[in-house]
Amino acid sequence: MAQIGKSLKVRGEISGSEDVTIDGEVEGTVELKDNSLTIGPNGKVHANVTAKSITVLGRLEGNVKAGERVEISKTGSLEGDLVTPRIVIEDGAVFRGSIDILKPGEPSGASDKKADGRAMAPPPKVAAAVADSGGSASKPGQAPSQKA
Amino acid sequence: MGERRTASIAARHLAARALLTLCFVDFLKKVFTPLTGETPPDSVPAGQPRGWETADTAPFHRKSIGLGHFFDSFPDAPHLEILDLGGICESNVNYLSRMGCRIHAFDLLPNYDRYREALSGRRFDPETARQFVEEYFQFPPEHFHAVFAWDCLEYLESDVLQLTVSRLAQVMRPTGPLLSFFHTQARGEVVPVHRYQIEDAQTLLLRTRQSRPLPSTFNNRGLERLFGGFESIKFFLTRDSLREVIVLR
Repeated sequence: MAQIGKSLKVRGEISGSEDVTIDGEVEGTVELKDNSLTIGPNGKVHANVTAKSITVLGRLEGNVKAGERVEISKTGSLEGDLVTPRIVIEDGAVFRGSIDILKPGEPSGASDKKADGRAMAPPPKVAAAVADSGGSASKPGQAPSQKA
Repeated sequence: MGERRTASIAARHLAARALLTLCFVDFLKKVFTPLTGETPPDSVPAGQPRGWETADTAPFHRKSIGLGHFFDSFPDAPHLEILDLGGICESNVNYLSRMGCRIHAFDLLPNYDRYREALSGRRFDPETARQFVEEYFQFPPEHFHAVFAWDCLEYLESDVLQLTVSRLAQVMRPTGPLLSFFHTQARGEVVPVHRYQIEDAQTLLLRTRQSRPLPSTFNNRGLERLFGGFESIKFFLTRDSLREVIVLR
C-alpha cells in the first residue's frame, strides 16, 4: 500500500495498481481502477478520482467514480459528482454535488448522460502542472470540474 | 448553623434575581424586535458545517400526507433529477436511487449560517443575498424534476428567501413539485430544525439538528405570495404545528 504523508503536496496524475492512502495534499487526477483510495483525516484532494472503493475521512473535491463503493465518514467532506454502485454516509458527513447510484449490471458510462439524453460536459482542463515537493507523482494532470 | 441558613437564603435570593433579570432582558429583546417582521440576525446561533448540529435527542417517526402527495406528483419518467436542500442522507439517497433518480444535495442552512457569520451580525444586503444564491444554486435552467426543500426555507431572511424561491422556479422543470415545511408559530419563537429521512412514501424519520427562532411568520396568504411564480400550491396543516406545502412549477 502506498501512502502520501501529511507533509507531502503532489500535483499531477497518480495511477497504479495498489491501494493508496492520502494524508497530504493532492491536486490533479487519481486513477486506481482496481484498488482502494483512502483520504485520511488530514488529507486534502482536489482531483477527479477513479478507484474500486473510496473512503473519505478528510476532504475531496472532484468528480468521483467508484467500481464498488464510496464511504464518507463523519469527518469527511466531498464536493463533486459521484458515480458508484453503493454509498455509505455517516451522520455528520458533508457533501455537495450529485450522486448517481449504478444499478447492478449498469455500465458507468450510462450515468454520464443527463435525464434528457444529453451527455454531461467533461471536467474543464487546466494548464499542466509540474509535480513538486518531492512527491511521488510526476506527470501533469487535469484539475477537477468546477462545482456550483 | 444560623449563619449557614442565612447564606443559603441569600444565595437563593441572588439566583432568583439573576433569573428575573434574564427573563426581563429576553422580554425586552422581543418587545424591541424590528417591525419589519424579522428577528435581528445576531439572535440566530452562528453555524459551521461541523459542530452546527447541537441537539442530542432521539429520532422520531412522523406521518406526512404532504410527502405522499409530493411523490404522487413526480413525473412518470426515468432518470429523474432531484434536488435536496437538507444535506446528504444515506437513507434518502438509497430510497430515491431505487426510484431511478439522480440526487443533487447540499446542506443549505449551515452554509447560509456561514455567510451570516461573515456579515458579523448585519443583515444580508441585496448583493450578498445574490452572491449566496449564485454560489449555491448555480444549476442549468429547468434541470430538476423535483425539489425537497424540507424546513430550510423558513429560516432564510426575506431577501435571500425571495431570491432562492425565484431561482428554484428557474431551475425546476414545468409541473415539477417542490416540498417544503413551514412552522405555524409566530416570528421569534424557537422551533426545531430537523433532518428528514424518508422511510416510505408517507413516513419520515426526523432527527433534531438544532433549535432556532423563526425570522418570519408564514401564513397561507404569505406563502401564496412567496410562491407566486409557481403554477399551483397545496397546504396540509398538521397537528404538530407544521404546514406542509407542495408547489408545482
